[in-house]
Amino acid sequence: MLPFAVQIRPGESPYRQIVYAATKSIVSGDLAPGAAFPSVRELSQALKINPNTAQKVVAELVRTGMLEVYPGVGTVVAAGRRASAGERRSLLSDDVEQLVVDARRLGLNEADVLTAVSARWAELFGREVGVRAPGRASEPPPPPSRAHSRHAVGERRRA
Amino acid sequence: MAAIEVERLTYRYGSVTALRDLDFTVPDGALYALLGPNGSGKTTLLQILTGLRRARSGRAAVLGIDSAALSWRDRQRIGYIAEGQSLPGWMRLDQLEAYLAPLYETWDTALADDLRARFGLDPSRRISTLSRGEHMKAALLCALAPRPRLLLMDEPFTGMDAVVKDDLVRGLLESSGEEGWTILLCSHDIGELELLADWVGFLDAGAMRVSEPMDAFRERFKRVDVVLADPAYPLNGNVPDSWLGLERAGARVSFVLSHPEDGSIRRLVSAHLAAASRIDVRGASLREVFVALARGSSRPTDEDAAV
Repeated sequence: MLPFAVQIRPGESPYRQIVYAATKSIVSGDLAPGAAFPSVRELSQALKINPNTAQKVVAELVRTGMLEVYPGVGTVVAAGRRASAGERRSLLSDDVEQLVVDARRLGLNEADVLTAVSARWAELFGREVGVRAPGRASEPPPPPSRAHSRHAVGERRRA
Repeated sequence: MAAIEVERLTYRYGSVTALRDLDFTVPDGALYALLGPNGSGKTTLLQILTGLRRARSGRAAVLGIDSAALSWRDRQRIGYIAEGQSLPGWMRLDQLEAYLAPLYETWDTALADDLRARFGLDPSRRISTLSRGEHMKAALLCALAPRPRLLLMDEPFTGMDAVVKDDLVRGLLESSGEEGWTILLCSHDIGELELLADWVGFLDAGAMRVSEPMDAFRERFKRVDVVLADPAYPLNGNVPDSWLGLERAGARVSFVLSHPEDGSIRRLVSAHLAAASRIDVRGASLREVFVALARGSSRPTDEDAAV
């Protein structure tokens, strides 16, 4: 059992998918600073991936500063690392790409997509967060607490 | 030194050529997935590598030694699990282990104990009473306990349920350790190998069509899905032979091609299919490439468009 969720799709580089999933859970705070990160061996066995792939994943996460290696202790999530807005945005790039391509395919335009995103944002987190001026995302407000967003999603599902 | 080196290997069963001028190399430390349709020569190749068959011509070396001249000491360092590997049914598992251990200078009793516990095998059980999955686990235990430098496995996952497959894969990874031993695995279980292997080979009619690192393989094989504006648009004469596993259902056409650069694929496809109204390109899965290579450049007829 791994401390982060990853569903590997065939046909795409498993290395990139695992790095992406791990980075996402570290940046989002799901994996707290100081938390133990699985060893190469644990990663390889849990995901049933080639040990070299697991090795590359850990090396890349160390290189990007997501993980820190303490010899004799193991690998832990780096402390005091605050991801920049750009880094956080880049973690959505795959999802944004998918959204844009699907929208285009359905014959929607950019305004349709933005409207749909704003409406959904307002539903989940309220209007005041959603209407912040775009383009000034250098220091956006902290994400709503997980409890809050879960609650909002729960409300929505029951509705 | 490469773990396996095969040069211009040819093997015939009477008038049937099973392996034809075969060339391929498995680097030291690789986990090599050898894929190929039934009858492509995989088992014959493994039997030559283990010295169980002699090639007519060409050369096969394992761990740097000619496979036709392996000594008993060389063989200790090579593990082999044949397809449907049989074990002596009248023995108990602990008896089988005790029988095998002195035959290997490197037999690791602690590893055997670990694997037995991991696989949930009861040492006092008679081999003949084991289920199919347990039988395969026992065979794997016996092959891994001597800590071979090279392990050859012929279809180890065939007929195994998901839980057993999981155990087998984890058992392999567990004992692989850090010492960089080499595994060559023949299997039809492509899904299991896609993440496990770091090298892939595709054997077809006795010749190696592909043999390369999995990363390079992933980079170059793309799956293309096309929607044609004109469902009656003829494919004959428009589609190059390098588009593999071509399938068509009305206006939809899909195929696999080898092309390392993402950007120019759309241009290439629309240059051949003027009627393409939509072109989707993504990385091909191992299964898609396997099927496409096996089907080769056989073409659906344009009558299929009517379906």
